[in-house]
Amino acid sequence: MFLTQIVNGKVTEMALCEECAKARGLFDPQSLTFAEKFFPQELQRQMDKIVRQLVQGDKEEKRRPAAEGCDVITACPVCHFTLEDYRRTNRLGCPDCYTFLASELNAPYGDAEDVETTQQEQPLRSTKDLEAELQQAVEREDYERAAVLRDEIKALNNAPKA
Amino acid sequence: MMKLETLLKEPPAHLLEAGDRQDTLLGVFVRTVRNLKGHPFPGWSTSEGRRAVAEALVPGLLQLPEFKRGAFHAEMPALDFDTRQQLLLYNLISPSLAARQDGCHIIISQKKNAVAMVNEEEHLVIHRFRQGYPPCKRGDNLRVGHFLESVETMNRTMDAAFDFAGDAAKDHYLTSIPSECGCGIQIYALLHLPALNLSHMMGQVTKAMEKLHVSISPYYSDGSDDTANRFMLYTFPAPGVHLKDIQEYFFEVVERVVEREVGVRNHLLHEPGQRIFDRVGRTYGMLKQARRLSIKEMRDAFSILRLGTVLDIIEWACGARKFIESLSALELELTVQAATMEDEDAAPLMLAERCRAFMKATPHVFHSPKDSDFD
Repeated sequence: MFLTQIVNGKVTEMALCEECAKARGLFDPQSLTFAEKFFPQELQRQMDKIVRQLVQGDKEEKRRPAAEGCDVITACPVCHFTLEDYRRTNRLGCPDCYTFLASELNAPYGDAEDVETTQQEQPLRSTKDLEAELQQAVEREDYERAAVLRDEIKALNNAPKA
Repeated sequence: MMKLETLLKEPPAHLLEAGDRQDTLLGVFVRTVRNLKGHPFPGWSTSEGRRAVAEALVPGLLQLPEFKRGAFHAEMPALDFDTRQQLLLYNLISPSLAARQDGCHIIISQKKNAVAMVNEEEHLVIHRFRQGYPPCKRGDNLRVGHFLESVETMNRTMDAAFDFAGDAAKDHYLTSIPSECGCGIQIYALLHLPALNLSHMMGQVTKAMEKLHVSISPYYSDGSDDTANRFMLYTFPAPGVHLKDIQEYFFEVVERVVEREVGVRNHLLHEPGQRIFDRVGRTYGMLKQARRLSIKEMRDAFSILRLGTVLDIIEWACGARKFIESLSALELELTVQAATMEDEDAAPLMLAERCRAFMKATPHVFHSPKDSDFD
């Protein structure tokens, strides 16, 4: 399958084999023509996502070390859907994948790491910023968020000063 | 078997009728999802695999009471682009199936209130529709109850006839997306909420829905900001949760949103800012005089016209309910016509012309309020 994406005059061309196209959610090449006519914006988003995935492929591999070499089953023996396919698409290949890829489904490795990374990358905010956000949360009646912010401010105020 | 021409001749009745509760509750629909054991999900399947699933499912589906007599049945390659477009506008096909081909089938009941889609995103997806519904609180939800009971009866028949993946006894069915496994049923309510939208309160409603674990999205989810003030409230399947558990909770939430909409309408009718009269008046003038209209403008305008009708700002000789039904029919007809026109630039002219003609041909009185009404 050949894909050409043009964004702001920049052309990105890709050639994918059938298996790779499937693994990237392009399951039914015949449907692309219809998808282009019916949902051009959705298709554009899907294409953007695929390009991002290809560009960031190496980075992704580093963040999610494959289980190759371990005793864990990494592909469904019935439909040959792999753990990598699941991580990429959040979908499974067949009902038997639930049995064979059970460990992955019970412990979503990627998600846990994403949360950790997000938390680590979040910059420390001042009490003033938090108070402003708290005020906004109260105004829009988002009391759940407001409670979290209240506790953060409290913790910050109680923290020992350097 | 129903012919394609017969299917497309008239829109489904549930899209034409005025909604209940001051035209706020336009309809309820239920999505049932099932997958066969031992077959790859459609997204990971080949044409041959999808054909095998269709061969296993279609004959049995055509024996269900909903599809046994006079249903329409086709394999997707037999439907051209315009037909798919029209089925989408009639809400008789999902966007996912509309884009699919070999081995994918659609079966539509004679009354156009049930649709079975084979090899959509799952092996089998069935949509059942019902227009509006009467008050559902305090044990008065019998009509919706009957509708949902008929859905359950159909599902039980299917569970007995097919070998579905999951555990029917535990009401747990497997889907291609692990987070969507569960009772295999989602309930949707289609709501018309112009007053909440006009008052910029949809953000609040969305936040509240998040907390109540009910989802909300614009009805026309094509990526544009075209809402026509129509929103879908819906549930997500969850393991071990039975339809009856979801149903009561869900309709309570729907009821609260409707009460809020009706409350805001009453408030707007008496507020000194006269926003609602201004909006209805401008829309009225636009429909009578505009020379070019987009589909989005037309849908938004029709929504405000419905609101003005329900609030007696505009009185139609044929009666409010009858008027709303003819307006719904016109909206569908014009949307289909505009979407299938070859000359795209001619569509706005056509839409404006048809709207002007409709307003001229439908006797009515516009009740302008006096300034003293707001003192």
